Amino acid sequence: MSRWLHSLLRTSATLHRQQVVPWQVFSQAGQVLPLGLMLSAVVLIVWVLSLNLGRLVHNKASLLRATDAAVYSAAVAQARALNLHAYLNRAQLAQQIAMAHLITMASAQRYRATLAGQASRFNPPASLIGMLFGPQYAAAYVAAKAGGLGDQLALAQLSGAFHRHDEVIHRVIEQVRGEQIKRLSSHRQHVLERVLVQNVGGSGSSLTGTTLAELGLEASITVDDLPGFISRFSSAEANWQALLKRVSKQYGFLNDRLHTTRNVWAVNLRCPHKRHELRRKGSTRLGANGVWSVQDHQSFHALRYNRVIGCYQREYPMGWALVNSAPSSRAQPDLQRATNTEPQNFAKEAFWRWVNQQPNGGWNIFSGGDNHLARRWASASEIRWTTQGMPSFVALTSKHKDSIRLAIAVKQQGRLIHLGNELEEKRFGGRFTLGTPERAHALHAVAAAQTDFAPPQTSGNATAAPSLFQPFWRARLIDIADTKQRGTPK
Amino acid sequence: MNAQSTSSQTQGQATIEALVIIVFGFLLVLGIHHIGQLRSHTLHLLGESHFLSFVPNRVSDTLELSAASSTVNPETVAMPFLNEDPLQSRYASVRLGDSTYSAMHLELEHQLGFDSATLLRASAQSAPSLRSKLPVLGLIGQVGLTRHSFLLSGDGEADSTLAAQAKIAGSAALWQDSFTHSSQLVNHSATTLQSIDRVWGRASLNTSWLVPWANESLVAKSAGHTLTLPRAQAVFTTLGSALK
Repeated sequence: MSRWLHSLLRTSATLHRQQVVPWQVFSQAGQVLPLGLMLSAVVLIVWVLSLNLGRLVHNKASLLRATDAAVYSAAVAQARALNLHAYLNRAQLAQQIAMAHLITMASAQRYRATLAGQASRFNPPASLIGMLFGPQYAAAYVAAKAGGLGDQLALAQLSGAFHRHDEVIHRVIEQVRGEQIKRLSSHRQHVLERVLVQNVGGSGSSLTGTTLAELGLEASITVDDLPGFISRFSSAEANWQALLKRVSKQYGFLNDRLHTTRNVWAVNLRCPHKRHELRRKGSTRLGANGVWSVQDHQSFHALRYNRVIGCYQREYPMGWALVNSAPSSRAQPDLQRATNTEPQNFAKEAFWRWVNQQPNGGWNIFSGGDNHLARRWASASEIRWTTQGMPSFVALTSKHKDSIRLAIAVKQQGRLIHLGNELEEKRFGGRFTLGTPERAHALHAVAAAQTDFAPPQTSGNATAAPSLFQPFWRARLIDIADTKQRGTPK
Repeated sequence: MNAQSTSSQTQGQATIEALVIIVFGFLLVLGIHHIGQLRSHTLHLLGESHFLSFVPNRVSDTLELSAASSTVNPETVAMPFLNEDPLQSRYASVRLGDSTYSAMHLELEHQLGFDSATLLRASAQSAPSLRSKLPVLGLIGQVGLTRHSFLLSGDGEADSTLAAQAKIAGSAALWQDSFTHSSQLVNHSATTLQSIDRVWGRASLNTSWLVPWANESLVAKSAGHTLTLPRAQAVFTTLGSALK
């Protein structure tokens, strides 16, 4: 700059030394100004071009980043949905385990109450049980009375808790699950658009707007693997039932209660190989339609002999309980309950005769292993809890792919390079378009992302397959080329 | 007017013109330089904010109230940028707009550690001055540039199946509300039954209804895939007591 100034001053001095004539000087007057103005005009044009170019680069960079952010966010929305389903499936399993415990506890409470009642009535007496089977069994029999003879309060509380878990399954888990499935696609679209708009229009640049239209944006999904990736199934379905059974096996409290104890010595010379028996039976079962059925009973089987049938076991029920849960739509307590025809004592009729009179010849009273009479008494006083029906669960479909891929194409129109609007075109009678109007008027960007299953690194040889029971879904950006070929992306 | 005075006037005019052009040209060049630098800096900030939005583990050193628009969640995390680059980063939660999901859905998500109602806004803010070899003339000193990037951040994934169970256990709507009462009730009932069941060798009650099967192989419907993860017994025991 200083060199140019020095040159100008030197030229001026040379003119002065050469004593130019006035007309020559007059013709040279203002010569610097036009040249300077021309130079300034050129620089000004360069400036305007650089401004426009800078703006174009900025807008392109902004659009590229916005497109990346938008497609990634949409993939995050998908990952969140899949992870949420995993949490919901797991929570539902836990809720059903809790319900299994509550209904088992209800059966145990009824069993305890009936045990206490029989102990109070000395039917059979605790001393006899202690003498035959050991003091610990007598102590357990008598201990039932410690909880009182009633069970209504405990059962009401347990029932309330049971229904609270059922409520969580149906009013929280089911509702959120249904909403998630129904609205995932629209939510993803909403996220995609909002992220695009915010990144382009709210990034702090000169482009401002709150809608796609205001910003001249058009977004279209070019690859979408979401449809058909997951589906909703009924928990009455065998897979869920098997899963629930396997999980419930972790809890010993829910295991079968199948125990029999015998007295040591022979009690009847005619039946030297038979003994008195004390049988404790009980189970917690999940029925085919997700119905919990729990029973607990205990009977003293006294060894008897008569000349008609020989040696047999006279059953004295000590404790009994049966609790079932069923969907409220199918609950018919009055019809399904067994009619209370079983005698409470056999003072008027011999036990063995009564058994023989039962349909199909009754049951085996000679070498059986069950508490048939206690079971009948339990059925007669069955406790039936209602549920709101079978919940559902969400799983990957059989045709699911290894990931959910998503690709979008975004086009931004207008205001990129100012080429005139309609009003200006009318005013100046022409269009200010370049050779390729589409390229000048719009910027384009594409991006792709995927939601895939990424379990934590494990040390062993364990392999992990995609599952909606493990919340290990994550989103990541992928090369757009990967969406054009199906397979594992690099 | 003699020739000498005319020549002198011409010389003076040329000098003035030259000076005017020089000043104008200088300002133009300076303007181009500064605008270019500003554009470059803007792009840098844009890239920086974009990068920051993808940073998975954001350090929240300090908390401050956001002075931004009403759409910003007041819980804004700010932290100084930890390198020599005179940039500052700032994170905020911005509402996504009209939510697609119900309030219950959003609450549940929030309890599980993610939120579909908000976007993460990562802001990169420029330093108050830029290094320039040309005179700044007070132009750059006044420029405080900020660029924002928005992202739906956080997949909501768990680090392990045990961590997943812990998340469920921590959720009020999904677990705590129903579990707390039930566990107390069942534990209370168990005390009256313990002396009856002990003689029959019945397993004691376990009210940890989430942890024992945390690492259980779970088979997904239809897919036929089985996920087997090694049992983490040590962690299991530690967290188990917390979950009860």
